[in-house]
Amino acid sequence: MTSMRFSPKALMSSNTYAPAIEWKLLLPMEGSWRCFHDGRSVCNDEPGAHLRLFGRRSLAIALFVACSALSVGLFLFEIYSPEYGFRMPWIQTEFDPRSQVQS
Amino acid sequence: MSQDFGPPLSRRVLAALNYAYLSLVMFVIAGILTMAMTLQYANGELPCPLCLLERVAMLGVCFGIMLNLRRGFSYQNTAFSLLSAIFLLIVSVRQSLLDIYPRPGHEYIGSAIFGIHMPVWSIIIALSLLTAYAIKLAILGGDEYLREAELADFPAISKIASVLSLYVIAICVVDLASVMLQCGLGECHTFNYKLLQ
Repeated sequence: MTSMRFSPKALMSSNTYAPAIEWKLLLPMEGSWRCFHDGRSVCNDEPGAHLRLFGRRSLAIALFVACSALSVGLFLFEIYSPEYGFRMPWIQTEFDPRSQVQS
Repeated sequence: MSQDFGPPLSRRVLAALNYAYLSLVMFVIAGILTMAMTLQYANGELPCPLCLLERVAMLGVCFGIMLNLRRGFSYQNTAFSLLSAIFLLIVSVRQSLLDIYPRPGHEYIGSAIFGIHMPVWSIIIALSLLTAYAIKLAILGGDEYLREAELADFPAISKIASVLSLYVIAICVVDLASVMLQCGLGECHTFNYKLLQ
């Protein structure tokens, strides 16, 4: 996704609908700057602006993917243990006729 | 030139319900993680490696929700939450199978809450999350109204969501620091904090 930085005046005057381009605010939150997202505008002084926390979505997603990959790797490391891996010998899976309920 | 009066009321209500629902899910997960960390610091119950992965999965669910709240609705963000919920389910089922038969070194770790231990709770939480998402998609399904009404259009929910998001981020940072203290860069153990020895 493309991110572009523009002057506040240009952002304020722009009303072009451009769904493929994300007009992202990369500058400080002061003033009445505008952020265009899928053709909609959100002012900085609106309450929703608080959620524009730390910038780039792509970076956040990349970190999420890296964290997930590390977690999956650690999980696989855990379950491939030769002692208590997939075999799970502590779980009795053989049929025990004594446990059968007589009707 | 025709003036845009925004989405009709019914669509606004649906959008408000959706954002309220997402905030509620994040609130519940934040509560669960707070409880886990309280037990860790107050009772000295150090989390096992799989317990830590379950926390990561819950934070992953919150990540997808935060993206939906912050950047507007997207199925991509919803998928992050669902993938994390599935990962939570897999890890917690594995841990329950590991601890289901008590033997030396493999008892359930930590206190039981309402008689149920944490890995079993995690299964319940993961199934609840998946079910809740399925019900939400069935009832509030469709996405047109979500693209028309952003969170900023609902100031009260927006403020609550902002506070919750910051709180979850704070939990994540504290958790990361705690894991570094407990495990360093090596294998995790539940005996003590490795870096405090």
